[in-house]
Amino acid sequence: MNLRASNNSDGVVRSLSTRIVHAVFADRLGVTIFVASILFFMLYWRIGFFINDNWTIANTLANVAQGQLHISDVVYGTDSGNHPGMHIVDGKLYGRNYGIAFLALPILWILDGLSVVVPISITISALWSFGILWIGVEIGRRWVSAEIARWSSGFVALGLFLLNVLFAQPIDPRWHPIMALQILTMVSAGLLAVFLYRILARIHDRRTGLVMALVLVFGTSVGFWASIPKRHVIIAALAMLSFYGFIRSRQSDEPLHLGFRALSYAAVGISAWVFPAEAIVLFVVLAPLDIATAPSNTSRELVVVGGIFAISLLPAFLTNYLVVGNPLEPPKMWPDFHGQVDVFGSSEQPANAGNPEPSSNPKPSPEPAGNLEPPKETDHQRSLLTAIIASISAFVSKGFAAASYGVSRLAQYMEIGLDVSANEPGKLYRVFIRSGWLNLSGERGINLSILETAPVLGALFALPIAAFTRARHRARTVFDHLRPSDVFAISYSVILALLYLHRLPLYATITIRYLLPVIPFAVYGVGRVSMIRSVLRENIVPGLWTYAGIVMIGTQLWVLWLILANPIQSEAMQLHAILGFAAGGSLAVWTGLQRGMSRQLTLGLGSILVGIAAGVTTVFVLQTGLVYAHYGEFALGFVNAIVDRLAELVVSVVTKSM
Amino acid sequence: MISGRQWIRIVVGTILLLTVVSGPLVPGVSFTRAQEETDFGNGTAQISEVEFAETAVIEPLRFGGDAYILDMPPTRIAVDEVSGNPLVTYKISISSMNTTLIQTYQLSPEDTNQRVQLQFEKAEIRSPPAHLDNVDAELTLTLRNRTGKQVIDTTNISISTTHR
Repeated sequence: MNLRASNNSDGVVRSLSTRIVHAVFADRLGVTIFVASILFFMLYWRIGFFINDNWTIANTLANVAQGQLHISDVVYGTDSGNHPGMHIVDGKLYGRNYGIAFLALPILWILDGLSVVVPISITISALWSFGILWIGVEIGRRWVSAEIARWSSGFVALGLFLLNVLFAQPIDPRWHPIMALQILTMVSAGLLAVFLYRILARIHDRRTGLVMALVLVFGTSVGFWASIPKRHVIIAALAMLSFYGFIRSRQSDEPLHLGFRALSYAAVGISAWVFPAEAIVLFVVLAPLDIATAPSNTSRELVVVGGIFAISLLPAFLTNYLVVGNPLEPPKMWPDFHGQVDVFGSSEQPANAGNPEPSSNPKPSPEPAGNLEPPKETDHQRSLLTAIIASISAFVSKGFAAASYGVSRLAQYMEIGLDVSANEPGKLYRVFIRSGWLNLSGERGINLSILETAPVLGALFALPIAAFTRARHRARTVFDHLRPSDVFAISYSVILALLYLHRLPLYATITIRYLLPVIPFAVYGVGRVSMIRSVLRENIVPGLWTYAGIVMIGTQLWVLWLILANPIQSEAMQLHAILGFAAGGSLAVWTGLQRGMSRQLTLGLGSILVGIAAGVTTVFVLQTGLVYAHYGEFALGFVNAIVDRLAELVVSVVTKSM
Repeated sequence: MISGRQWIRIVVGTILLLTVVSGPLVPGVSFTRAQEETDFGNGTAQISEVEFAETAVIEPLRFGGDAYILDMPPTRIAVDEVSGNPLVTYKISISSMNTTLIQTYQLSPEDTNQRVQLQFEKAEIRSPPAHLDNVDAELTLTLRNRTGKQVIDTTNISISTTHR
């Protein structure tokens, strides 16, 4: 009896986990894409702060974890809390991106909990080795045999684990909040790839989905931002989730189509908790397109979808309400904190001032900020129920003003964006095609364009060509081939770009990070190019060899070049830019040249060019992640050991933080 | 003979076991080693002799940049005694270009009785005045710690400029 009962519960657990895996990853291939992505991101995961506004969000999380929205405990950065993105309301400091902080909270709890039982640094190595084991078995059983795959990946995984343990350093718990944020962004980037896989597998085939998902991870700037705790990757993942829900809900034979429709709106609601301006962009694309192309719009459906959307917006509204009393006034509109008042009542200078430390490597101060008064109980800490009721009434009274302000701001920015596009084509060229040496503050050569950091997007050049050729023959066919999802991807990309064009190009964006959420949609577009799909279907092998060759040999040659030529960071970044530009440009030229060549030659060349485009970007992501960026310690011990030796040889490229 | 599946279980089991053993549940065993924390900027040093770099060049950047870099050979200091980790800052002031560059080095007790090489790493610099083939620069080495600073030595050199 007992045995049977335990078997049953075992079966229930197993079927539940199978269901969850199926719901999130679709199939084994989806899991493999996710694991491969995480393994790659972890390889160059540095536990630390990339730029100083990371302090703000890490402090936000650290204080949310203490059960408060305001920041009374400046755990990271300077004691005054005067960091970019900080806000001050009623004399209290508040952070930003509360959605990210709350999403990272469970991860922080897991880290804190685990650290009681196991050392976190060794656990990270263990998980990485389990990932290696999974990937080894999954790839090996397709190429050789399952038995050989198991034996060899077992040895590799165990060997790498022991190697990591050899160099492992303990991780102080004060790093847990920043690690939780980094794990959240890495998981988001991995899921982003899984969503793209599922979308393209549904529209076309699994191979297209698989390759484009891997291209997104290994061949675009997504990898660069994966372990950096900023909003971009998370917004991209939510936008892709919304896109996926939209696509699934277009099919009336889909039994869960209403659920998927609601999901596409729920992703918008969560985005609003992360960064409202970008949620509005997603909403203005989704809502009209959804209503226009849904299989049906019965009032029951609209109520369900609207209800879920409203619920998904609640966390964002509630956060805003609790801080400023207006649910529709997002953090971006709260008064900025520039250190104008001394919040903590101390007259001390920021901790780093007068400290001779070349502060490229900010360390969190283990002690709490000086002269800290215990947080006072105020009317902000109201009961949840009162808050909800009050928030509904506030929604009606103050809400509309703020909403119309938000929409008019968006319209205003888009107008400027259109103006820039029409009158300053040079700026568009700098942002999308070739960066060159921009006259920005700081180092001028390190901010690269979209094409330079995601050269595979050169293949998108095929789309206007195809549209033009078709239009010449018969105007209607252009639209025959356009799916609602294509309209979604194009509108989202264009509107997000217009929103930010007035600020771009900007320093410290490295890969035009504001437009990062556009990248997965653009890679979706590459997957929609029929010639690319022909390449993947008929002649993928030359591309794979080219990619492997560039990554394995190119990475080493690059390091050799760094040692011999001793370039400064701007020079190294510009060489990456030139290679990326050349790879992307070649792919664009290829899309236009197909007519004159035999099909075999065209496909072979295309395969190699895609391999080059992805390869140079992998080299770029690895070099920037491992060598140039210089903050914190690597999460994996053996990476730390190797890069430390390397850094002694290539000093000039790493002397300044990026 | 064990099967591949059993081998996988052994690998996973070993990794989990080692992870747990290294943790707080098994006191006294830990596979992690903390790096020695250096007490940054706290300490003193005696420096007896300074051999400044005698030349330097300002030349155009590679790969299409319209900026310039400053490149110079190392400066050497003879260190008699070090306690703690005091810092040496290396300042280059070029008044005709209205430019000051600073790099910082950390000394440690192992540097006692050594000649320490201070390599001013290549740095991006604004364009030199087009009519000048040479610019004058003042090099200053300063010993700093948390309580104060003290100029070690200073000198003037001429930096040759290459124009694009």
